[in-house]
Amino acid sequence: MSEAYIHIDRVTKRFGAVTAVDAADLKIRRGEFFSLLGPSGCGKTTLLRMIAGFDFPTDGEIFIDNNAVTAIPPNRRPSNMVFQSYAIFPHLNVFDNIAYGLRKLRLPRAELTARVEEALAMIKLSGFGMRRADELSGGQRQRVALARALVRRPKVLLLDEPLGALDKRLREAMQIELRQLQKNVGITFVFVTHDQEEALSMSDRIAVMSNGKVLQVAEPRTLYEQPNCREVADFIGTMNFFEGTVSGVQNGRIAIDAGPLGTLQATADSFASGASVLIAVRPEKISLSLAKIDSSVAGKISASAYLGERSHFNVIVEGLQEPVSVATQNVGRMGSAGLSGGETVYLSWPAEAMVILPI
Amino acid sequence: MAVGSAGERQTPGIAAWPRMLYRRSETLRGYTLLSPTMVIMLLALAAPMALLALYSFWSQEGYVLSTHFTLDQYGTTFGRDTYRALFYRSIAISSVVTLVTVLLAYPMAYFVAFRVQKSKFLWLILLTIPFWTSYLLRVFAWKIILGYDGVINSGLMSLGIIHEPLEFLLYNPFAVVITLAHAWAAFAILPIYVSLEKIDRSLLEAAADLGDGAIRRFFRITLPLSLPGVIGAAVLIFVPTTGDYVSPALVGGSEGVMIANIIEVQFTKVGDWPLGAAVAIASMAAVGIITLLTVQALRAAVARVK
Amino acid sequence: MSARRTQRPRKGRGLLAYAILYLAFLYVPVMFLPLFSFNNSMFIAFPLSGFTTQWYAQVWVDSAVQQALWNSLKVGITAALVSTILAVPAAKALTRYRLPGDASILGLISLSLFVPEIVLGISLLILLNAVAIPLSLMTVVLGHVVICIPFAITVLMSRMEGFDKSLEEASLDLGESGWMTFWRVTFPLVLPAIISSLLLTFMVSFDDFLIAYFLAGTDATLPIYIWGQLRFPYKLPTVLALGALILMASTVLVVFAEFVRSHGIEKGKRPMVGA
Ligand SMILES: Nc1ncnc2c1ncn2[C@@H]1O[C@H](COP(=O)(O)OP(=O)(O)OP(=O)(O)O)[C@@H](O)[C@H]1O
Ligand SMILES: [Mg+2]
Repeated sequence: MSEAYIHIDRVTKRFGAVTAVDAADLKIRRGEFFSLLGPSGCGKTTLLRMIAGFDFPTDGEIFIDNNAVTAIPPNRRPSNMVFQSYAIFPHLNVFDNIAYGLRKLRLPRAELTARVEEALAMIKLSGFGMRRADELSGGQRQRVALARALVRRPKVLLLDEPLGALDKRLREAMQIELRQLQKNVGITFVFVTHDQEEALSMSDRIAVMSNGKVLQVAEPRTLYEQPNCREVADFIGTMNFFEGTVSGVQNGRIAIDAGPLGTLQATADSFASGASVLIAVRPEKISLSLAKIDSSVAGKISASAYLGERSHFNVIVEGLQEPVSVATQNVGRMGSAGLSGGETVYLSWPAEAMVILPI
Repeated sequence: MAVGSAGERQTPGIAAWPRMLYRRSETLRGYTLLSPTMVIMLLALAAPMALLALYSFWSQEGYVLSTHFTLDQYGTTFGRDTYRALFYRSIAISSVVTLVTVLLAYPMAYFVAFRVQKSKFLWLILLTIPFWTSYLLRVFAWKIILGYDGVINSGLMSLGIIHEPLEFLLYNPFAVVITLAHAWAAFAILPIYVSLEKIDRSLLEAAADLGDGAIRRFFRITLPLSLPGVIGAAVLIFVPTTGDYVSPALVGGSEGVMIANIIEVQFTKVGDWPLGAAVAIASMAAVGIITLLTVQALRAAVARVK
Repeated sequence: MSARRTQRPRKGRGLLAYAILYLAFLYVPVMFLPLFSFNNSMFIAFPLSGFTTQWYAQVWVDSAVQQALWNSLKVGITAALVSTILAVPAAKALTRYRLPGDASILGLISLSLFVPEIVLGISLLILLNAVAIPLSLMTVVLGHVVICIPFAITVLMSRMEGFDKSLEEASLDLGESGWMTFWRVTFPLVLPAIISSLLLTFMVSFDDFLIAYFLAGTDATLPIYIWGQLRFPYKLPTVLALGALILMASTVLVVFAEFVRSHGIEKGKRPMVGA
């Protein structure tokens, strides 16, 4: 099922000279937990606000369920939003906040009450209906905002960094709850965050944005294992980059002359012989040994950090400008004990650990 | 999947476009909301002022208004010694009033901004109540205080300090100055207070940390930073008081007559509206220019001191 | 009252003394109005000759006062309503929308604060005369709306700046139209400022003498009536009584208006703070 439920069709948004969203093209599937991930100021909120109807694209069109909604005002769109500030109405109590969007439906009183109570139960705030908005904690306000949007049974729920204002503990608990909730209600979630771990752990798919552009749209695993450009690779997790030149191409495999690293064999197509490439390797995919083995690279440990379940090392390889970052799991009791600096070690990694990117 | 399903898609019809344009354009919506107010302001403020300017180039011939362009009214305005004298006096009185009011208000505003901690609101209310209560009555109060057999004279006489009423109290420029300084006090306090309140307290602490004493701190930090408020207050007092009518009429006497009294006479007893218009336009223009130049000069002076 | 106070006690006390003197300067002159309004003498002079309420009784039965008061109320209420109703959308536009030229628009709106009242009065008089609109209480209202709008807009803008714009967006998002959003969200949140604006603009109109003087035609408002009485020394005691009543009423009104406004602001702000 690859049909686009929400289609952002080459949408551009400019504020004067600033291009907040630059020709973004996204297809979000029905029932998907979709995240917009990127550094501050990259245009996530702007994109979300255009889906909600608060901002209008300078260019491009937005479709929800095959209907162009670009010209439709927010109050007639099938989406609802959880605001970054939660926007709980301060003059209404919790019950009336949640019931706010139900007025139009003209439900009988009993049914209205039942629906609000159900929503309160869903967010585990039963009995809080009469509380004033300013008597709620941050986490409670966030949940009321969620219930207020969900009680309208929208087709799409838009969430703008809904966990940003919560402390770490609460945020982690809410991540699990939110994901569970999304699975239960089956609504399409579009979730904005600048926290990569949050995006990786919660999402079905993630769009990575930078400077208004969508760089890559993929499942979390693909994004981590197969980033399509240096920026994505850099933004998600840690990555070692080496430069090289393609020296040979042969049915799906290429040989790369990587200078101090020697000649490397990798699986990749669409590279011509003589092309400059970037070789990206995750620190945890690199094995580190004290004994020289085949096709390994020698280096000196310049720094190490013990982090409990794993250790980090910086290894200086002669001829490379930057030290190579290596992460090891501390499986045995003593782990990589004893390696603290100055030792000569040998680095190696399997061919499939490398991601080959054009420069 | 590419744009395969585009065929089923529903795009907005032509009819939706004007509305969409309206919704897209924040500017359009904003101007719509502003338009009723703007219409009133244009009709009841801008248009009348423009017409006043126009009138000043016409002339009154007996009972007939002649709409021939003429500079006669300005000739009279600038030519007549009495008008020039009145204008200079208005400027002098307003300058003194502005100076006195701002000087008196500054420590008061400073007190509320920096010394009052808990009952700021109470102080602010106390200081603003007079501002909202009848201007006419506040001026009138000074008439009964300064009058020939008013509060001061009768008070001093019944105490036996004087035996004859002091005549110099009422009906002179001094009476106008004190009355105006009293009537416009709140206008000075609020802008100064606001600019003092905005000052980041850590700046003062930093200055103290760098070894500045209280006096130096005041002149190097507090005063320059509160200058926008001081200038705002000064403009807000100087400009309208040059055109004040009630105070000179009630407590000014013949020595305290100001330019507004002349304008009023042209519009009522004399009935020479074009001349009245020319006096009004000329004095407003002059006051405007003086104000701008003074503010510029002040800003420049401050910039140099910094 | 912490370290700062104890460090420089003398300076703190000096300023306090100054502040008290200043308040006295503001209030004492005006206090002579109520004081002499109870004095049993035609002359406003010391020594006081005895207590009386006869001047108040005279005000009470004076039909000219009643007429002028009624006129002032009509003008004041109309001007307050018109200027506040105009100011609500204007303040919303100025705080919520990015408008090119909004600084000059605000400049035009506040222009009346910088133009001497006499010029406002005569220029409107000329215009009304040119388009042959007869002077009446309605023309006074027009003049008063011009001087009231800056006050109304200032009060309303400071309130609207105080609350989160996403509250209105949330309402739209939850299916309400712009109109219903105004009534269900904006209006209740701005209500304290609206009340305050109504009261303050009423006061501005109720107190104004000069504009009404030029635009009222034959109908007198209260300040015009008082102005007319000042020429007759034997009328002064009743003017004092009337003035004392006006001062008292406006003080109550202003205190109430300021209270509603500041109270509203605090209450509206608290829940805005995030987690
Ligand atoms: N109303 C606006 N007017 C002008 N520029 C704006 C406006 N809204 C956003 N921008 C600009 O557009 C860019 C994208 O902003 P946006 O709020 O979408 O970023 P974001 O990705 O949500 O960032 P954050 O993580 O900090 O919330 C920024 O450079 C911002 O300054
Ligand atoms: Mg954002």
